[in-house]
Amino acid sequence: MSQKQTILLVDDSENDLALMRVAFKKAHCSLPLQEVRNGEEAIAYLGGEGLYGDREKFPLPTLVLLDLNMPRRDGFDVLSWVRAQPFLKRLSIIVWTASARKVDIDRAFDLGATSFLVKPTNLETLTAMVACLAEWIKVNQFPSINADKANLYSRTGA
Amino acid sequence: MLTKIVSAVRDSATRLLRLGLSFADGAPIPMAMVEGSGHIVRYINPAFCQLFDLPKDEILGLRFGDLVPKNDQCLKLLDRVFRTGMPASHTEEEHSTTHPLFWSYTMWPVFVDKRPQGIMIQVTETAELREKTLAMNEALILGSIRQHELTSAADLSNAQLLVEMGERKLAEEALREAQAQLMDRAGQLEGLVIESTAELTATNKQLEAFVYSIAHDLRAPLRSMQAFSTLLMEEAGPALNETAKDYANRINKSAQFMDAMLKDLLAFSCISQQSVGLTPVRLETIIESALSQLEADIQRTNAHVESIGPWPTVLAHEPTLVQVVCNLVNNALKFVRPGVPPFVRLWAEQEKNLIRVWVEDRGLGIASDHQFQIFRLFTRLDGDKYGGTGIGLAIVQKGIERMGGKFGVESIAGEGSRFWFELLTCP
Repeated sequence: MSQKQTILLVDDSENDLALMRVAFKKAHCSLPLQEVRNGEEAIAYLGGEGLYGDREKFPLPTLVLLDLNMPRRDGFDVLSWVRAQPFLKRLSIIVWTASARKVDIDRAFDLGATSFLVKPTNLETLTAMVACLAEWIKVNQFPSINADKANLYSRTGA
Repeated sequence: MLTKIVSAVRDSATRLLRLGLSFADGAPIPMAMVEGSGHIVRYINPAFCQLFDLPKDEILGLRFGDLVPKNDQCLKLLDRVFRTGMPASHTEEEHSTTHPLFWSYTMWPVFVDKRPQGIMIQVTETAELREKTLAMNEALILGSIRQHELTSAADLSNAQLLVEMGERKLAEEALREAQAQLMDRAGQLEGLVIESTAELTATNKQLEAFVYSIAHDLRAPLRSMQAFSTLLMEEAGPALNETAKDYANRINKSAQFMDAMLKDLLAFSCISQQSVGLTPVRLETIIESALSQLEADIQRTNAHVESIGPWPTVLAHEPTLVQVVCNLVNNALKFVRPGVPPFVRLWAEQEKNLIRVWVEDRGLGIASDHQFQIFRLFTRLDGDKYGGTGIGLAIVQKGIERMGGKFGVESIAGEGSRFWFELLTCP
């Protein structure tokens, strides 16, 4: 079974994570989803710390959907950290947040965000957006990311 | 201040001197007063005039030396008196006439309040020396008594002056002190103003952040409420009876409504908080932006929207003005009479340097008692009936006010309304 591209959801809101799961299902996107609840955990996951070292169980994601407002190291911290890691810095990170303040948008891009999306308020729009993401993942050419010898990704494109 | 005091003292000295000299006026013995090292004649009595047989004016101002040119002795005496401040007298003989003449000079310095004013010169001829001497003595005695009195008076006057001076000095000092305090206070106040302004700016920033985070944080659970109530209806669909579906629907609608309110509140707060810099803005652009934002609603309600030019340029804040026009047109689309599609007309009028923009509709209209209410925050005259959050017109009010303009409405219930706002024109 070929490894599917994993999407890492970083969000402190249990509700929002649940909704994302629903939306992905509705959008008929069956890509595996991993979830972490704050910036600290996100960095641990991406760095392969502790439990997350098991790349079978916790594969490096193709795409990260990153919330900004989180306790214990927020989205900006994660962005900064990732772009500072020589082996991780190519990672595609889409900011996925409720805040649409200009200063936040600018800062996110300054810190190297791939894209900035605002969480829609209703389910229909959310589903549409996720469907769009799924399509994008299909057509986007993703860079290679060599986390360690056990490299579990490769696939770009469908 | 000081010069005033000095001249006052000088005036009083002169006054006193004149008083003292009045006794010499009546003396039968020629008397003169000279001043300064040049011994300039400042005063002569009538007897003196008689002696020299010259009118007063011709003598006054002369140097005494010029008056008695051959008399070195006299002048030497004058100098001595001037130098030492001690009286002196001298007698000499003149043999120029048929009978012997003895001239006698007596000189003494005149002080007023210990200040030398000049030298008194008494001149007598020996022929009448004895009588004149007696008379002179009397005059002298009188004079010295007088002088004593005058000196006392001068002392008193001086003392008074000193007191006045002292008081004045105190007053001056008090004034200076007060001025210094005032400067201090002004400095303090300035400091306070700067501090307060800084605090206010900081507070405003905090407020902005506060409002933003509240709106932001509150919208998150609302998202969940909306979404999950929808999902509930989907999931449980068939299992839910009409009532249950109704309940789920109400939850959903409430969440949507609250979300809309938060969005509008955020917009309202934005307009209230942020600095509204005014620049020349083309009304045409504004109208276009607003109408394009409402494109979908215009289509959906089958509305007829007219925008009648020409559209001048005004002094405004572009995003705020777009919001204002948007809200006004949006209201026109919403508050319609049953069965009547929305009709909206926009145009501008110019009066001197003011531009008045009209937004007219043929909708519900507003009774005059309610016309001021509608601009209040959260006020919806018909409650839920026509949707909306009750913030739209509050935003219009706040926005126009912050741009320094005026606004108002003319309306007849059942016929329609004309909302207007005024802004300064920009040439």
